[in-house]
Amino acid sequence: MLDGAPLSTLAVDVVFLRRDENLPPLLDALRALGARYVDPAGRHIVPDADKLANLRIHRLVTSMGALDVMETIGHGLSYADLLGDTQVMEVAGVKVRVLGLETIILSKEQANRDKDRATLHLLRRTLQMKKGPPAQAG
Amino acid sequence: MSHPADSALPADVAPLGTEADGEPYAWEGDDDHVIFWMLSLTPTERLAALQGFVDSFMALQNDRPAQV
Repeated sequence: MLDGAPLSTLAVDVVFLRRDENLPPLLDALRALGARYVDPAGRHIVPDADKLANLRIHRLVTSMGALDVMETIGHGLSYADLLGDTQVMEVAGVKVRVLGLETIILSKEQANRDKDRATLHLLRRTLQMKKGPPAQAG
Repeated sequence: MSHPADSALPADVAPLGTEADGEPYAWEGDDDHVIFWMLSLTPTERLAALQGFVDSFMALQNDRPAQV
């Protein structure tokens, strides 16, 4: 949505670069949000340093809503793979690095789940309208 | 944009770029109006629009008029 597609999602997706120095601030941020894992059994499981270092996907609920923290998306697209198609946007005074539509489309094509395919038309159309001018009528 | 993983796409998935080549596009209908409106907004305004949708749902849930 930040890049212009009229689509929203229930969860914010964050891709992080797994480096030792990145894990403590990530864990601090998750704790500040009161993050806990989505657990079908209803257990209260919270992120810790060991989980961040060893799990690749963290599906969380927080005080601000659902949050997915991942090392890769699509077919193994990592932070380094994605960085070239990102831009920093200032949203409500906060600078956030947002993934571009082209790579969002690519990741959804690769994931190829029903919910991904359902969004592809609008994503592709938004990208087309961002890139090209409207055709002259008549 | 191409990517090595493109070759792993399912056969029925169009490769990236087939619809976004920068060519002039013909107006297609309702979706285009919404996209055009969304593209006219700043990122902060887009989030504000989304928040407005959420507020409307909450107002319905709480059985009170939405703030417009």
